[in-house]
Amino acid sequence: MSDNNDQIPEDINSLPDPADLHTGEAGLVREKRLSRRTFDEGEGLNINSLMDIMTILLVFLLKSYGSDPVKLKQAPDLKPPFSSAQLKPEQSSTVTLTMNNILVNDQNVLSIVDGKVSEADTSGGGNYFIDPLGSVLEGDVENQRAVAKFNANSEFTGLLTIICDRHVPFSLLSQVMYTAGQVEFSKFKFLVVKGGA
Amino acid sequence: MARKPSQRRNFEQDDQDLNLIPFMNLVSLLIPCLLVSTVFVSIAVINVSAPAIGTAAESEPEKEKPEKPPLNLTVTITDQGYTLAGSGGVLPGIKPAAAGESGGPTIPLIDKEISCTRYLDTWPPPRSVNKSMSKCTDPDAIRAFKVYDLERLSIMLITIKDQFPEENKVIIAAEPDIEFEALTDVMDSTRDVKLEGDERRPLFPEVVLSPGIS
Repeated sequence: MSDNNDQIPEDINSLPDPADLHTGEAGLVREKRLSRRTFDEGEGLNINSLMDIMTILLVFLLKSYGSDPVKLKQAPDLKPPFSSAQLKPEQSSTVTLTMNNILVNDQNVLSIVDGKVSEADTSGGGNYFIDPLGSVLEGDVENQRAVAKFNANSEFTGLLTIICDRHVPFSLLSQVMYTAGQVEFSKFKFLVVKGGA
Repeated sequence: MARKPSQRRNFEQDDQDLNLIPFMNLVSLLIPCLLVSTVFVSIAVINVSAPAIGTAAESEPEKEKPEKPPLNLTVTITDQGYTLAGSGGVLPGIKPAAAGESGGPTIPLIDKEISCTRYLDTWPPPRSVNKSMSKCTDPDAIRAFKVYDLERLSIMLITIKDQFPEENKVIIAAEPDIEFEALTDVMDSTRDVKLEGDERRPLFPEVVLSPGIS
């Protein structure tokens, strides 16, 4: 290490004392004058840009919250599979299938065990018809038909969106589709998460 | 009130800022609320027709008989693999099973190293086969499982499409225990195939689910 850095410059006396700038009487006056010159207007925090960000964020969130016709609720036992499908969901009734529950339009209809409906709840040939689900779906169809009577824009199309957990066995799926088919749902859409290969 | 001309110059306009605090309160509450309740996954749907049972065939007008009988391409999913069949023609690359003989699946399962990213906290399908192994826990791990041979299925479907270009329909059947994910995987393969770049060639986009085999 060299001692050059510690050497005192020769013109030390002509330089102003740094301490004087802020603590001395002259320094105080100078500082006051400076601050008056530079911060004349706009006191307080400037939150204009923050407000801009927040407003944009709010609009974006509100838009993304309300635009999807079919909403995917988050639940630990509801994970739809990934797929490369590109079709957009349409407004329709929904049936949600998990390993533990069957829901129609987000209302619980039937609790099941390990993806299997107990035989007491089924009827018909091969136990394909799920009775509680059938009656709820029938009420839903009647509602839609009643609305369609008065509103020409909302025709009953027989469209049903099925939101299904990836683990649900095919037996439950075919039971549900059979039941829905019996109450005149004829077109089905399976909801999937985009992102497959 | 009018001001004295001498005061006009010194008149300072009251530059009162808008009181934004209530608005800020509202916004800063709404944003976390919406952020939590919004699910940031992009969703899509797969169109499926119902199995033709019950009332499905109500008032369909009688179609003229097509010159060629429909192919009725069927993909059956079992926990051993895929079985392809077609009643309307001989599928290329598949030996028709002799009468009474129950051959194995057309495309059996394969051992493959796959990434665990998609199967976090579960197994890749068919789970009835893979259940004996430990679950995928690390999203970055690459592990060997017995999985469906989707690539071979895709290749076979392309050759079938080449031979029957007018066919758009595929019937998918499955064993009762086959999970939904295996079904959508097959639907992905039958719908289209990815070509160079972003182009996709449609194969058999009309899916009919068959009530299954017992």
